[in-house]
Amino acid sequence: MKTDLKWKLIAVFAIFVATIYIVLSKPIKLGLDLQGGMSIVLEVDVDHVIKTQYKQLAKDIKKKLKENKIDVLSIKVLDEKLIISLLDPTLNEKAFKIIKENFPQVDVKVSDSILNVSFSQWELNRIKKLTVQQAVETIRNRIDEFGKLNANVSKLGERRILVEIPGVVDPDRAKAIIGKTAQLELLEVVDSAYSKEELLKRYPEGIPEGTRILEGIPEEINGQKVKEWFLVKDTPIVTGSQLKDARASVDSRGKPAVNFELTDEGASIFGEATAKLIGKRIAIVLDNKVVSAPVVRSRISKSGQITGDFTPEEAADLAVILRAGALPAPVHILEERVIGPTLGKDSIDKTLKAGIAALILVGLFMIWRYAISGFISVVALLFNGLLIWAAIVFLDITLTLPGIAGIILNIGMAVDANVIIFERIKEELKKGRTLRVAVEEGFKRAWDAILDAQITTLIAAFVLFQFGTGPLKGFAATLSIGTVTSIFTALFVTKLFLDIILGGKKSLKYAF
Amino acid sequence: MRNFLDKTPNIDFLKIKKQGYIVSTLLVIASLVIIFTKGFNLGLDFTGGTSIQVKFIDRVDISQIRAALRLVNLQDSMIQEIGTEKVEYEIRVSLKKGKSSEIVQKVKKALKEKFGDRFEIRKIDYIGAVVGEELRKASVYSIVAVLVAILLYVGYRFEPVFAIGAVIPLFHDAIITLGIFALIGEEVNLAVIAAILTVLGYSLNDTIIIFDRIRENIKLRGKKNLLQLVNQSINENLSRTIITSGTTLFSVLALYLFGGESLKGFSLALLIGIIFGTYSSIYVASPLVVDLERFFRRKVTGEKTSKTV
Repeated sequence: MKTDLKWKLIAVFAIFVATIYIVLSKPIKLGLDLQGGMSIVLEVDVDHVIKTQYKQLAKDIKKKLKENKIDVLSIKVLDEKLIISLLDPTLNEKAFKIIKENFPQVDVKVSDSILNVSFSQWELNRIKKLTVQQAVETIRNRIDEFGKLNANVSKLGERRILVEIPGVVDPDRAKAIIGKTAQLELLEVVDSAYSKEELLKRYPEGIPEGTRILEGIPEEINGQKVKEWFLVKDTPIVTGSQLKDARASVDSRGKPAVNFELTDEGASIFGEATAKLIGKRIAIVLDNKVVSAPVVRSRISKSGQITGDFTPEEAADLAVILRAGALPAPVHILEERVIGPTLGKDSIDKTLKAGIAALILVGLFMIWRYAISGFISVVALLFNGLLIWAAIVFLDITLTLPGIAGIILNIGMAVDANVIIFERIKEELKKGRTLRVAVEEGFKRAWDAILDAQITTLIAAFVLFQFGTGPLKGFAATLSIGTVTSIFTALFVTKLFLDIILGGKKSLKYAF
Repeated sequence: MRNFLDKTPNIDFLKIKKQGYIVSTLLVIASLVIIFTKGFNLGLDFTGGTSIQVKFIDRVDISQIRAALRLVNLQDSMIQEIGTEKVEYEIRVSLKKGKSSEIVQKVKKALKEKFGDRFEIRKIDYIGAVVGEELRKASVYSIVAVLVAILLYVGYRFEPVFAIGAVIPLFHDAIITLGIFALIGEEVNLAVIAAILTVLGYSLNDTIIIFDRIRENIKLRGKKNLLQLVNQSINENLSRTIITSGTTLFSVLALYLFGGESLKGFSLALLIGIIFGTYSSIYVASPLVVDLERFFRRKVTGEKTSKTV
């Protein structure tokens, strides 16, 4: 054997060993479509957060202007800006300067007699990014509280979140845990009534500034279904962010409830507030619904209880959600897929069968048509399969059902390069070239065509990877990996084995 | 036998190019007519809605399932059989019918009432309206993106005439594949679009292999008798064209026959696409190169003559 062949053989053998090592190092990560599980795509309602931020900004600006002895006539909070009118419009320029100095995150414009204030694009992007990031972390925390689920929570695009939970999942429960905003607020009740109309009728000139109306949850009193409506102070006394702990428990009537405990800071604020509110009611509000509104009998500081119409499971889940924290904004489910474990197993079994069938069909054909070289190309094909496997493991790619389809498709495509080469060699042999020359010529001449062909396949795979959703990305991935690795096996490995077998022979029966 | 096509055949492909053009044009027109009149059976990915895949222990008829769904007022849902054994079905409920979790509860309840525990929910998919719309757009964009990228690449590697000659047949392949899907009412979903993208990339392989040979022969003999040269290039490459497509078709066929229901549409699109892709690289792409070349040459010489006048 020539020395350069020896070195090439050693190189291929080294790659083979490395491949085997990688393949054995860890199992392939299976997609949810193969192992069963649930995937949800959520959209974070960042507009909601921006609106809340504008409300806060309005308060802050008003306060700052007051400090500077500028009286505000009105601040209108719109979706994408604040419109401020001053009592004395001649002070507009001064107010402009004050806002500009103290609130670097906003753009201010003076027009006519009003001030337009809006967050800068940079600030808006920052809020959006932060909100989605926080939402991802909160969902991660919630799922972690449930123990080892191997779930994947990741950002998807600008304002979306992908949650994937493998295994057997109760979809409704999972959605309740992931999707609940769980914004807990303790608010001072100003007034209440058993219908919204009745409540509104008491305020013919509109509800007082700094208050809002909230709905209670339906309950049965003397066999009649009723719902209480509340007029509450806008600013919460404490919120869920000041929560230290939450545990499922039972209330005084033995019904499931959730006990919560406030942080030290929260406790002192709440204690101070409740001391002033003895005899009045406070509303315990979860996601803008009043779950209960007890009367304050004495100063409460540390702990409280959320009661409502819970099942024991719901109470336990709510405790978990509260512990993990509220989502920074409501989320909406855009897409949801639940795959049972049997379907995934079926898919694996079936595609395995298809893969073997493809291998046998293609392999037999190649050996039939190209004899010894055909056999070599089948060896190269198997090597290619191994390389694809190793690449999937090494690059940490999730193998999906379309991904397997991509590998099977590759069985038929990978030999294409060999077919092009071998046909060329046959053609050269017909022209009367010696085996040696024909082989060299065949590999050299086929190179251009093979490269062009593989690149166009890669173009399609690349575009697919860009636009495809989860499972199809797996197809694009295996298709491109297979296309690249097959260039190595079909050209380099096949050529090496051919050179070794043919040696310096002028001709060999059944070589092609 | 194993040496079939070893002797370079001498088929006059370009003699029948007119017929080839006519057949292809008719096929494309027919496909477009079917697509625009009958329309696609669009998959959940594009329509949005809730899809529930159920497997029964016993054989069940669609009418039995519909009767069960009548209990919860969902009898007008789409029910499709999966496979041919009458045990597995997909029930699809449109977005208008309400929240997906409620729909799933209703369907479960209805099936339980009628079939007891003798069924298993295998898969639930919910796609919201926003996502469906996005995926529809993304599919169209991605097909256009692939075509443009291919046009640029082939234009870069070959002469522009070849690039046009390579891309027009791709439209042909994609349209006919979609036309057949519309005709037989097979579902067009994301996986089918992925298959079509793959076909665009792959069916170009055949074309490129022939073009490559044409280019090689032009280098040897010049462009003088292009018609005969192209014809010879097709013939010289015939074994390659047939065998490369053949081995890939083996894989796709294995996938179609054994790969299970989830990959049926996907492998069918590949099957149709590759067959027409092979056909079009011989009967559409190569004749186009000859005709385009002639057309442009005439234009160039025509301009020259007009200048001298």
